[in-house]
Amino acid sequence: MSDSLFKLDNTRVDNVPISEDESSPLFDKLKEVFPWVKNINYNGISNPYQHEILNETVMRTCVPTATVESMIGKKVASAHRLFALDSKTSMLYVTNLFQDENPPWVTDDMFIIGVTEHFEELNRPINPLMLTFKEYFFVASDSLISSYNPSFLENKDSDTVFSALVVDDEIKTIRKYNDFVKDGNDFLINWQSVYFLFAKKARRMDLIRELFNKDFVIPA
Amino acid sequence: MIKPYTITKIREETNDAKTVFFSITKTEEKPCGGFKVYTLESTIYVSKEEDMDQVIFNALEKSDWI
Repeated sequence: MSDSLFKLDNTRVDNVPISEDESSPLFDKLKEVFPWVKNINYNGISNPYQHEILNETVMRTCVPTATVESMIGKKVASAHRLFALDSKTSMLYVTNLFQDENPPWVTDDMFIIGVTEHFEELNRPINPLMLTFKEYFFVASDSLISSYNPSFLENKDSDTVFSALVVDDEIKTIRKYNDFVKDGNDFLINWQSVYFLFAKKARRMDLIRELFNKDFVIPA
Repeated sequence: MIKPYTITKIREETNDAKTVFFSITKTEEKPCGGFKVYTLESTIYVSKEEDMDQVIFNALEKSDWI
């Protein structure tokens, strides 16, 4: 099992690796609406769920990063395609290391580690709402997380991160991700190792120091 | 707007046609784990009446590169 997403209403959305039998019926369902989808071009697929911003049923697929990096000309931490089943639209999005100034909604008891970047693709209709929001991945104090949803602290471990869906500098909702880093990798075993890798590649050791200066971040 | 391929060079031909040089990368998961990355570098002839992007896109879609 790859990551599990928990919405604020505690809905759980699993992302299934393509190597698992459970992925086939999910791809079949997706291809009913998007016949151009080919399983071989993905390495994971999620269950359908109601998207908090788009207000329609979506499915999320994992796209191999090498494929996307050749399309956009830069390295990314992860890549996905989001399919909106009702409007029959899609977008490609990547997650990058967060290196900008903190947005105004960031408080001292949170630290942003990544942010999404969204793309419209040639010959693939897009829902305009897909370009209006960003997803910021962050770690935070338990008290902050609890203020949004106390159950988000259940089963929290070294591979749990949170995200905020943000429109016009306003947090619209919060999500929790478990097993954020794919299983089966001996080196990248949790979000801290991934963050360290990408911050080091970007020559931003200052970000790593800033991260571990947060008292809610305990080295894994 | 992003495209699944990268145009690397365009050579003008007679009658306003073009030869378009392009590349595309795709990744496949291997049965025993890990990934294999394939990159195709190719050319395609586009006549004056045709849309360059549509010609490349259709060819790649038919051949399972997209």
